[in-house]
Amino acid sequence: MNILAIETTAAFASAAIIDKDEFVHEVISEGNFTHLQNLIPLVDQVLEECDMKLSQIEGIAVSRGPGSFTGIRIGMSTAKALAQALNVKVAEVPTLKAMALNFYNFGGIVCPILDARRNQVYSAAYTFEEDEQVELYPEGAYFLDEVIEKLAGKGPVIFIGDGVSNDAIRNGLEGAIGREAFFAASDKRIQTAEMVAVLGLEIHKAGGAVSYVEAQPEYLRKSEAERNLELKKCGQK
Amino acid sequence: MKLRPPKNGKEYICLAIESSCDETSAAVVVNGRKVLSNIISSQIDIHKEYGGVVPEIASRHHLNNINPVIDEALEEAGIGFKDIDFIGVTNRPGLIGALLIGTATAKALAYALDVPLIGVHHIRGHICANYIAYPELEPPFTSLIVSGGHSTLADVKGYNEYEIVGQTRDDAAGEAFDKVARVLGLGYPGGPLLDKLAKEGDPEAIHFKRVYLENDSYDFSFSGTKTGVLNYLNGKRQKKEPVNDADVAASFQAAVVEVLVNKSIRLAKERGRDKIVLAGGVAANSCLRKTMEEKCRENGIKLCMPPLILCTDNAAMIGAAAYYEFMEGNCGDGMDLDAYATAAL
Repeated sequence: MNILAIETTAAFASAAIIDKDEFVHEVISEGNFTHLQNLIPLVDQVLEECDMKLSQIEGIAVSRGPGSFTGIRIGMSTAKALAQALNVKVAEVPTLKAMALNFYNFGGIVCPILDARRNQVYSAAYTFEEDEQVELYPEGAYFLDEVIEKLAGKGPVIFIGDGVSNDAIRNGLEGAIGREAFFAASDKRIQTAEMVAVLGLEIHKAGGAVSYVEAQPEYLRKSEAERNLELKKCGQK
Repeated sequence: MKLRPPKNGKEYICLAIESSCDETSAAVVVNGRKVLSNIISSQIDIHKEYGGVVPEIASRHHLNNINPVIDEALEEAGIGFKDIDFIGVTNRPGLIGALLIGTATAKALAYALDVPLIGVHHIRGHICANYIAYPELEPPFTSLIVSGGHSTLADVKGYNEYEIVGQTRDDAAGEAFDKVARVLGLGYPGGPLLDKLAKEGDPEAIHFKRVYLENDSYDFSFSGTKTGVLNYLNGKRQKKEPVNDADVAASFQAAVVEVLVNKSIRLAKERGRDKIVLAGGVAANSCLRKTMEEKCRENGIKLCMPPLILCTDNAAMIGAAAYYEFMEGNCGDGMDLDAYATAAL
């Protein structure tokens, strides 16, 4: 099965193809947050480099979030429209789970940390046991203290994601977890389409891919206006 | 680049997409004039609760709605993806998060279907809505574009040649309507509710200032008139005198409309245009339509104003605008097409 994968939830967009032999080829944009402009040209480039036509693509995989709201939507709307035109299904790939796959051989806990602002991070944590990706705690918007509480004393942890580039977050983790805290190198910590393709293929094979109408993003957070309205309604009760 | 011949050998079929604010819309338009379908999914009820359009919420709903809306447009038109000759999409101006849903979707479809993609200016779309409503209409003409974000007077010289002659220096007409509606406690969307209330009032009951600016100016300014209403209401409140809301609505509307209409007529005469074309959401305002009709008749000018369904944000108008760009040699924007929150007409 040839799968086209899209990742636009962080600063750099990327596209990848995983082919019948499970060989993955990936291209990454040089533009910072220029996903709308760059994504289709990236798709075109990855197809060309794989010597493939779009009509040979049998499924789409998209990083469905969490991450930048706008980024999620550019990837998801592109994935949906491609699937609609090509009449194929979409694998809604959990962003944090896919990016953790890059560090399957770390030998400890792999913890993606995305800067969610307002003192929160989008996070989850995984261990890899005999090819099984085991979830320690589910993806969510957490305060850093909550993450620390879940991970302290559990052995070595490698932190990945753009949150690691934020000094306050990094210092917080380092201070609490000490020598057992490791940080992915800056060129390895950002999510790209390669692992979206790998996990996407698994989802397609397992029959978990959905139609272009059903495919949904996962923001892990309501809009600010909705939260404020809920607070107001609570206050009135 | 040369235009490709139409797939059916006769007519160009455009799939058009619009998502610049709170309406998700897709349409199928033949040769820029014949609408086979025009599906509009409105979010008004969702944003009502917030007293205005919330960009993040609008973007989330566009993402959910856009693909089924496209399916519905194709189905109603009785065509499939294979019949489409080109795709038109609003890529400027508007809420950026909303625009990018339509633009990303249109890009992916155009790429997958291997058809040209035309990025369309939203306001050009509003003007081109008139080509659908008036099959005989051709440029040149004077156009007044009034909406929640725009109050623009343009001399339309050709299908793709627009000269902006006047613009608002502060509030757009629709924005002023919405703000006054809010002060009167009318809710959202303010403009149509204000229009409805004004029908029960006397437009001459209170005189609000008409702002014409410099003698030769075609620009608009509505914030002074709006402030006049606020001051009037505050004054009445302080003196504990009763206020007739309907009279306030009617008088305010009359003040705004008078300036819009008089400047439009003056521009048409100065440029020797025999047609005035109304466009934009506020073109649905009954007082504007009625006053413009009277003044045009007095001055021997033909008036075009689209039916209400084509005044609101809709994709059919984008299909009309895209067609004329396509015909005049824009054989397609690149696959690096971007979206822009602001853009010149």
